[in-house]
This record gives sequence, structure tokens and C-alpha cells, in this order.
Amino acid sequence: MATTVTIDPVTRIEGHLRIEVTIETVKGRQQVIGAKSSGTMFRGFERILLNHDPFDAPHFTQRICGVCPTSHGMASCMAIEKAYKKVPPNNGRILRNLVLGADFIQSHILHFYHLAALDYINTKGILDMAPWTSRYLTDDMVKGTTAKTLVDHYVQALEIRRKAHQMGAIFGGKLPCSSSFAPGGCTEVYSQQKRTDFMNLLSEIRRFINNVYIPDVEAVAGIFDPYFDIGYGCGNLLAYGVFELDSTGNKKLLRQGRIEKGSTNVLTLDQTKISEDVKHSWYSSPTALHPSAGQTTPDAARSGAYSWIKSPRYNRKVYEVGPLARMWVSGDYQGGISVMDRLAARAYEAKIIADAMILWLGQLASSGASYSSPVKASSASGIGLTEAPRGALGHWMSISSSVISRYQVVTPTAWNASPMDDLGQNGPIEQALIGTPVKDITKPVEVLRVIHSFDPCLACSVHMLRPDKEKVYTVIQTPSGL
Amino acid sequence: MHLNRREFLRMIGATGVAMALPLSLIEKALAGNGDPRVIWLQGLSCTGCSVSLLNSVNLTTVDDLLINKINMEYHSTLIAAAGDLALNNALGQHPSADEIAAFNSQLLKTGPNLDFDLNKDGVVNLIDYNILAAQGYILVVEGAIPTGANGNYCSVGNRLTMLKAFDLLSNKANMIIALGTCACYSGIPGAKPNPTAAKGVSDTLSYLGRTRKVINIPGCPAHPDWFVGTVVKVLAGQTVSLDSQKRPNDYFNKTVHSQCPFREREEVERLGGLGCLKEIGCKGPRTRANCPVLKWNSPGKGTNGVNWCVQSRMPCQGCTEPGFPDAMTPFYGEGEEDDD
Repeated sequence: MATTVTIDPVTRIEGHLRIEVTIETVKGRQQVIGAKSSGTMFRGFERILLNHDPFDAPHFTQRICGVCPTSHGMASCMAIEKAYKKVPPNNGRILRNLVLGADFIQSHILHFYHLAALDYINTKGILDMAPWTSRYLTDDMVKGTTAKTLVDHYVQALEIRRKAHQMGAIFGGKLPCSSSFAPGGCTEVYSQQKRTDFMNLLSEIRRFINNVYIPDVEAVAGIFDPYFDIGYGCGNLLAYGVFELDSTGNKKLLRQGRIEKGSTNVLTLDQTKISEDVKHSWYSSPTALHPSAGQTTPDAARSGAYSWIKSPRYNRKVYEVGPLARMWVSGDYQGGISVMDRLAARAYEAKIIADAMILWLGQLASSGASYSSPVKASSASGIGLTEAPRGALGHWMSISSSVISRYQVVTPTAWNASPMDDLGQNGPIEQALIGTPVKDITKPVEVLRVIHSFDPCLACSVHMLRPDKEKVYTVIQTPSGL
Repeated sequence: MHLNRREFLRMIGATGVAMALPLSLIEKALAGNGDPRVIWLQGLSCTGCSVSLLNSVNLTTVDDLLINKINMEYHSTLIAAAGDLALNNALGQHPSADEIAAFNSQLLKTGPNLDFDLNKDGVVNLIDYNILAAQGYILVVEGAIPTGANGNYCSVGNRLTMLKAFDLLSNKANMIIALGTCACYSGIPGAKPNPTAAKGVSDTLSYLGRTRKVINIPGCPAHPDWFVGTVVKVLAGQTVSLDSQKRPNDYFNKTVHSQCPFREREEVERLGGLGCLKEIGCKGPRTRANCPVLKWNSPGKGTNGVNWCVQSRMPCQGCTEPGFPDAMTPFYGEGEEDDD
């Protein structure tokens, strides 16, 4: 007898996500047999950006997300630089990488400790106050001194991620939302003092990554070993790549590429093969459009639809994006694909980025510009393909009569939290949920562990929409007391 | 004061009072620990103001705030609970006036018990029982509130729209803080063409036909010190003096330009130069905030930040003003020549 369990809101993510899972006992094992992932917040950036000066785009788009703003700033700058055929000076490229790297590290640490870890730790007796009380508590959660240590690290991690933002602000102006990102480079400049200050913070953060973050992830992975076999998902992995190592844009710290299910071969990526299905999304605009021709005509009464997120697909196939995908594509991860593999890859990626940042600091030239003004064109188009902490991020931009005439953003969480597409293929989170064992349907913590492994960020995932005028929204009268 | 659940129940159990009180009310009262309750709603939000708050250290850290100063009952980014369990924290029924009266009269009969002296004034009286049983809450709103299409552009959970959640929670809040320019003035979601008919908190209250006191702490994102400093003042029972935009005068009474260390410097003509950025579009002269003094991303307690927009050579974008972004764009402008 199947039961539908709804988790709405999914908490400890960015933004507004609703998950419905259908649970049934199959071959003696109570498990998820169906899943629906639904984004429930919409703002309309792609309409708001129209007719603005292209130079304004990086400042608007950074406000798509306050957890990964720098990635959007980077994607915008790259799209405009492509459109105006501008290559930033080396110092500008390196400074932007340093700020982006700082934001990545901040985001990964935030994710493991402050968003995901509570799924694994029994905090009773340690954090008996809001926001940590009234929660699912299951027998398999870590208790005792290990739990106490993890909670101590949760608190320490608050300080470390704060310092990562402080570090990024040295060249970023401020975080969240870096002021110094501009098409043409970075308006901040190198100085010996800034480099020293940055390096000191980076050293402290690297010590935390090596001595605390990675060991904690490995400890949790060891205790929750079954989660290496839970949450596989679609098996296809995709990355645009990030952290350009030279001015050609072809050499990146984390590479571009794809991996198909069951294989380890890294295949090339051709962005023309990206399209967005809308069969199960509330849009009546044509399906399977490439983002450069993207349309967004909402239709909240659309039969069979259940999400405002579209279904980005590559060559009509489902692809997962994120640190696991990047690490696989770059050949830096030799594990599998699962909940624990995602948590582990994210930690190891933080180390790779932090270690590389030392080299980048050394590459900064003590003299030389970090910003060079692009020459504007009245008509142009450009694509910025980069990575946010959560995965592949693309901005597709067209300029006409000197202003933005089209702007489409396809975010990592759109890939990961997408609904079923035209071919009946569930999105990555949905696929990862199917087969997940659930011991107690009143405490579906296993479902949370799978969802959180993707580090969803919903502010990023929805374009714009107009809701269903016919739906009746009722207030849930919560039972009093207990 | 932090009575734990077992201690409290044992105490009232010993007096035989427990049976007469609705258990639900005791449980609710005990959910708090005497610290003011905060319910934090996110609407059309990017979570940037929350992330910015996590950077707090100058006045105090966010863990000190959460553990020792406030009772953050609901914040969907941080809360351990999920789904209905979490939403109950925000929307769980608050005691009615009758329940509070019954609670107070029963507890008064047990005689003085100084563990109940929650406000530490040496006396146990109705004030303490009210603190325990009827704690009000501070409602913090982050993000704009969409009013288009019956509010259905944003759900806070279980088909409850942000508009409806705000409607319910603004009604009983002791205080409402609109955090960030989106919550104050609708910000970027409200920028033309405002696809979702997004409104800030004050405009939404008007829309709902209600008058409530609001403190606006704008910024995109808001600076953590502006929030923490205001909350600390409120907790200490001090008055927060507000300007005509309902912003705390402590942080917003002067323009960026009037406090800017670069105002006497040579005017910069192209982006990338260090100096006064008025010629290339700086909105400092018509933006109120203390960024030039406080700066951003503080390295430690009692220390101002490491950098800020103009110091990073980007003109001020005016992000604390009601006119952000529509009245502030283009954010900067410069000559057409390529200076390579």
C-alpha cells in the first residue's frame, strides 16, 4: 500500500523546495518508489534584466543567490566579455578566481556543517534550543562524544566560513555580492599587504579543511557507510569547468566535460546540445528550446505539470551537476556516485581549490592592471559558462540597440532539481530518491540525506512564472501543542 | 534562565498543578528558554541577508546570537526540523488570552519560586509568567512579498503562501523587522516590470489594511551589524530611533558621500581608478548608510570591515535606498575608449 509523504518546506537548503515521495514496501524493503521535486519561488530575473545596460548585469545577477553570488557575477562578466570580445588582464582573471574560490570554500563548509550535518547528528543534550530542537531523531544518528565533537566543529565552521568571506572581500569589495566584478576584469587591485592578508586567512582555512572538514566527512561517511549505495541518481555527470588558468579560457582547474553512466571516459561538451523541456513544468512555451532561444510563457493549469523549474537536458539525457560531477570529469575522484560520494567530493574539491589559490596568489603581478574597459557593441551575444558551488552555471545573453534583449540563466539546481522531462525521465534528485530505504515514514530522514547531498539552491533554479489562479491555497491548521 | 522540560514538569508536578494545566501550553511555553522568540520568514529572497548575518562578528557572532540572545524558532535555512514539523514552529498556535489567564492563575497559587523570576527583578509575578507563557516574538522578514495572483509566486511550505504566512504572523508579532532592501522596499524582485507584484513589508501591511510598527534594515544584502546592533538594542529595552524611511538612525542618518574618505580625492573618470567616483555614477550622495566607516566583512570583535564597494573602486549602487535598483541604474558609466 503506497503512501505519499510530503516534505514542504525542505529546510536546510537555499530557497523554497517541495518534495513528494511515494513510499511502498517492495520485496520486504520499505522504500521510495516515486518522487517529485518542485520549486516554489519565482521572481522573474530574465524579464527584469531586459533593456538594462549590459554592464549592470553582473550586479543584478549576483542577487539571484546570496550563497553563490560570485558565480553569477563571474558568468555575467564572462558572457559580456564574450559579447564585447574582451579578455580581462591576467591580474583581473586571477583576482576574480580568488574571490570565487573564497566563495566556493565558504559555501562548501556551510553546506556540510550547517545544512547537511544535522541529518547525521543526534543533537539532543547538546543543542537543546531552537533552531536545533523539534526535529527528526533516528537511532542511527551519531551520539555521544562524536556528536559533541561534530557540534563543536559546526560552531567552529561558522567562524571559518565567515573568514572565507572576509578573505574574499579583500579583493571582492564585500561578500555576499562582490562589488569588484566587472566585465573587463576586477576593479580591485593587487597589493603586497592584501596578498599577505589573503594568504594568512587562506592558511587558516586550509588547516580547517585538512584537519577538521575532511576528517569529519570521512568519519560520517564511515559511520553511514550504507549511504555509498544510496542516492545514485541518473549516473550521467556534466561540468562546464571553472577557474580559468590562463587567458585563453581553455585551461581550467576543474575541467569541462561529461561522463556517461557506467563509464569513466570523459567526453566533450557541446553547449548547443543543451535544451530545456517543459512537459512537466508549468509553461506553455515550446519545449526543448536551447537557452539562447529560451522562452518562458507560464501556464499554471498545464495538465501533468508539477514544477516551476524546467528540465535542462543534454542531448535529451538527464545529467547531474555539482562537485561530484566536476571531480569525476577532472579525474580527481575515484569513488562512486551516491549520497556519501557527493559529500566526500565536495570536501576534497574544497581542498583542491584552496591549495590552488596559493599558487594563484603567487601568480599575481605586482604591477599591471586588473581591469580594462571593454568596447561596447550595439548588437552582440555572449555565453558565460562557469560553475557555482552546486554545479554547472550558464548565462546566455543577447544585446540589441546597446541594451540587454535576452537573458537566460540555467543554474545547477535547475539541472539537479528538475522535474520529469518530455521523455518521462525524472530529474537527478528524483532519480536519486527512488530506491531510497525509509525506515519510519514519520521521520523520513533518509529522504533528507539524499536531497541535501545535492546541496540544492532554489533561488537559482526558477526562471519566472505566473501561478495558477485556480488553485486554492489553504492554511494548514497545525495541531496545538506537541 | 534555562529550565529544562523535566525540571519544570517535576516542579509543577510536585504541586499538583500539572493536571490542571493544558499540557500543550506547558510544552509551548517550554519551547522557549526565556530569550525572545524570533520567527524568520523568507519570501522572494536570495538568502543573501542571512548569509551576511552569518558574517557577524564585530558586535557578536551569530552563534552567540542564536545560543545566548535570541530563540530563533524558525529559519528555514538553519532549522533542524523539516516539513510540517518545522512549519509548526512558525505557525504553531500561540496561547490565547484565556489560556494565559488560566496558566497565570494556576501558577500564582503555588507561591513564590524564584526559578520563575525570569526578569530577575527579585519578585515572581505576572510579568514572569507572561514571559514564560506568552512570549511574544519578533518577526523578521527577508525577501519581498509577492502579492500577484493571490500570493502564489512564493510558498513557505505546504501550500502556504508567503503573503498568507506574513498576514498571519505580522498580526501577532511584537515587532517586525524588514531585513534587506527586498523586504523593506521590494528591491530587485520589485524592479520593473515587477513580474510578481512584489511588495516590501510596509506596502504589504497597507495592502492587507493593517498598521504595525516596522523597523526597516535595508541593504542588498543588509550589513550584519545593522541587524545585530538593532536587535541588541531592542533586547536591552532601548529605543531604536528611526528616520523617515523607518531605518535606524544609528546606521542610516548620513549619506555614504558625507562619510566617504574619497570625497576630497581627485575624481575618477574611468572605472578602475581610486578616488571620488561621482563622475562615473557613484550613488553615494543620495544613499544613506555608514558603509564608508563600518566597512564590510569584519575580521573580529570590535573591528570594522576589511573593504567596501567604493574602496574596491566600484561606485556605490545605492542598495539601501527605496529607489534600488530602478533609480540607481545604470550603476556606472564610463567612456567608450579602450585604454589598452
